[in-house]
Amino acid sequence: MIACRYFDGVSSRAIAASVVATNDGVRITGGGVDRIVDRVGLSFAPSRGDAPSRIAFDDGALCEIPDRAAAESLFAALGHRADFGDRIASRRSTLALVVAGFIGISAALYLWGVPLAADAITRGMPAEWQRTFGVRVLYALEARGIFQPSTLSAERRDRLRLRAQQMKFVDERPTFDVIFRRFKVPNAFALPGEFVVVSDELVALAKDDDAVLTVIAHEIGHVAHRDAMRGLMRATLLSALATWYVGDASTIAATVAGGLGGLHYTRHDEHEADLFALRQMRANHVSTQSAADLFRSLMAWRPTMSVERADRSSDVPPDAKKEDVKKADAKERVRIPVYLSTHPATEARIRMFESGVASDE
Amino acid sequence: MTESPIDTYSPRDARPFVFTGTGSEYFKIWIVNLALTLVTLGIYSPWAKVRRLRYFYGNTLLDDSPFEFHGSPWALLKGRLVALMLLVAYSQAGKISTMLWFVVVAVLIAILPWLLWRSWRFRLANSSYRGIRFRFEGSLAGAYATFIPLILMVLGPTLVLVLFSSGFAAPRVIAGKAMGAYGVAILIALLVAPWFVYRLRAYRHRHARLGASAFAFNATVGGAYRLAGMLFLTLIGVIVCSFLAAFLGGAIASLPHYESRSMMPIFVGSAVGYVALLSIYPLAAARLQNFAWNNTTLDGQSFQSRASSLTLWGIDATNLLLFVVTLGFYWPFAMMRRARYRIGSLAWFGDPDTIARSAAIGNVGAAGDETADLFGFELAL
Repeated sequence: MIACRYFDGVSSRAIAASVVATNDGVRITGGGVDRIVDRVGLSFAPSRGDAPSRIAFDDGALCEIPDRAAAESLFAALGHRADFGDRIASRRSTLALVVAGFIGISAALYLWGVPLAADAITRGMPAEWQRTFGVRVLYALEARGIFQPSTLSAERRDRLRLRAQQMKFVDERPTFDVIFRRFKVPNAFALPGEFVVVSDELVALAKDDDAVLTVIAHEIGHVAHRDAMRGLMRATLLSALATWYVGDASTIAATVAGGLGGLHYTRHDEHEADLFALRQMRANHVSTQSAADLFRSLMAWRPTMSVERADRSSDVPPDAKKEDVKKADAKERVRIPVYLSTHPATEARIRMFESGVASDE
Repeated sequence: MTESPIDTYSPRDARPFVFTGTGSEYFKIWIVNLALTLVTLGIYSPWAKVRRLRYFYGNTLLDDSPFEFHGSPWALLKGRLVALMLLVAYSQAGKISTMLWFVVVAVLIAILPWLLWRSWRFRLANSSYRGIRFRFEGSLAGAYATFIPLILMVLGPTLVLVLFSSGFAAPRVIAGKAMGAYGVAILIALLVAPWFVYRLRAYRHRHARLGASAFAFNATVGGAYRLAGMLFLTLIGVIVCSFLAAFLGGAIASLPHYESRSMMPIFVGSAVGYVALLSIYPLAAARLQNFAWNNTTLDGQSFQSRASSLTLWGIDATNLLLFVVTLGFYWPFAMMRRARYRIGSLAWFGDPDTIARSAAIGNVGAAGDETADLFGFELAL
C-alpha cells in the first residue's frame, strides 16, 4: 500500500488514498474511492527528483505518488519500461558511451563532414548563381566605398589582363575575370563568380608584371577550386551546426564557433592555390622570383609607405592633425586585412616561390 | 545559494510555483536527445522534444502537483514534415524565379497566423494539471487580427525601403529619400510595437482556459507603454556600454603591435559589444514576465510575478560564462538554473483545489506546433 493523492479528473481536489498492485493492474482505495484498473488502461510517469511520480488513467484521472522509490518498484512490478532514451541514460556505461559518441561524431563532422558537405554543395551550385553572388558582393563593397575605381593606367591594366587570359593552363581552362580596384591596402582575392580582384597598391609594390601575374595565378587557383564559395559554405554550415547544437540561445557562441572554425580550413586552400600558381608559372615559363620579392615587400609594407597618399584626403582634411591621420590609418588598416593576414606569409612560402618548386613536389 | 525571490510565505499569500528539475538529471535527457537526433539525422527530434517538454512540465509544481504534457511524438513528426516541405518550397522558389519567391513568401506570411493559432491550441490542449486539461479558445479571426499588424510592423520598414529603392539590380546608391522613409518607417514601427505586443499577450491570455475556469488579462495599453518606456531606458544604458566596449576595442587596435593581426581587436571589441547587447534579453525578460503575469488572473484570482531583472541578468551572465568555458556542456545546467528562477518567481493567489473539468475537449493536430517552431517562432513575448 503506497500513499498517494488521487484526482478523479473532474475536479482538482486531492483525495488522500493508497495504491497497491493487483494481479494485472492497480487498486486505489481511500476517501470514498475504490477502483481497480487494468494495466492496459494505465500510463506511468516516473519522476527523477522531488516531483511526484504519476499514474494516469484512461478516463483522465490520475494518481500522484510522492515516494519515489516506492513508485519505482510499483511501476517495475507492473512491467513498466522506460523509453529508449531513458534506458540509455540510466546506466553509467551506456551514458558514457553516448557522451563519447556524441563528442566523436561532432569532431568528425567538424573535421570531415562539414568540408565534404560544403564541397558537395558548392559543386552542385550552378555557376550562374555564384556569379550573381559575386556581382552582389562587388556592388556591396563598391557602394560602401571600400572598393574605388582603379587609378592604374588603362594600358597597364589591359596588359596584365591580356597576359592572364593568354596563359596556357595545365588543366582545364577555368573561366575568370581579372578586375582592378583601389582599396588602400595591397591585396588580391577571389570572389565567387570567377572574379579575381587585385588592388592598385599591390601592383604598385610589384617590381614587374611577372609578380602580379603570379599573384593573379594564385587567385585563379582559388577560382578554379571554387574556394570562395566553399569557404562561405563551410562557415555557414559550421555556424548552422553550432546554432543547432546550442539550441535557441547564445547566438554569440554559435557565431564565434562558426567564425573561428572557418579559419582553420583556409590554410589548406591557400597551399593548394600556391601549388596551382607554381604549376601555371612553370608551364608558361614565367619566373616566380619577382613574386617572392613582392611577398617580401608586403611583409615590410605599412600604410604610410603607400604611394597613393592622395586617397587619404577623401577621409581626412588636408590640415588634419597627426593623431587624426594616424587614426584614419588605423581605420583603413582595419577595414581590409593586409594581404598577409589572409595568406600565410611564412619564410617557407617565400622560399617556395623563389625556387619555383613546391615544397611537397 | 538561494535564488528564490519569495522568502516569506504564509497561507494567505500566493502559492508559489516550484521548479524541481536538476542539471544532472536534465543533462542525461539533453545529451541523449542530442546524440539520438544526430544519429537519426533529425528523425528522433519529435521524441526528443516530447521528452524535454515532459521533463519541464513534470518538474513544474503548484501545490505539490506537477503539470503534464500529453503531446504525441508522431503528431509532432507529421508537423515537422510539413515544416520541412515549407522550408524546401521557400528555398527552391528563389532558384526558379524572383516572382515565385515572392509568392511563396506571401503565402507563408498569410498562413503564419493560422500556424501559430494551431500551435497554441495544440500546446494548451495537450497540457494538463491534476487531470484537468487546458484549452485555447481564441478564434482564428482573432489570431489574424492580432498577427497581421505585428507582421506589418516587422516587415514594414523593409518593404518601404524596397519600394523606394531604384530596383534590385544595382543597389549602388540608395537615395536619401529612401533612407529617410526607412527611418520614418522604423520609428513608426517602434512606436506601435508596445501596442501590438500588448494585443498579442492579451489575445493569448484572455482565451486560455483550464477546465471550466478562464484566464483573464487586465493590463492596459498605458501600462504596456510605461513598460516599453522603461525597457527603452534600459536599452539606452546598454547601448552606452557597448559603445564604450567598441571604443575600447578600437583603442586596442591602434596600438603599434597590432598590424598584421588586424582582426583580433575588432573581434574582442565586438564580442564585448555583443555580450552587452545580449544583456538586454534577461533585463527585458524579467520585466515582461512580471508585466504579463501580474496582470493575469485565473478564475478571478491573480497571478504574482516577482522576477528581478538584476538577478536574472546575473544568472544569464554566469550561465554564458560557464557555457563558453565548458564548450557548451553546461547548457542543461544553465537551463535548469534559469527555469528554477523564472518559475520560482511566479505564484497564484487562487486555490488549486477548485478547478473543475469542462465539457468540451477536442483533439488538435500537431502541424501547427512544429511549423511554428521550425521557422524560429518561439514566441516568448
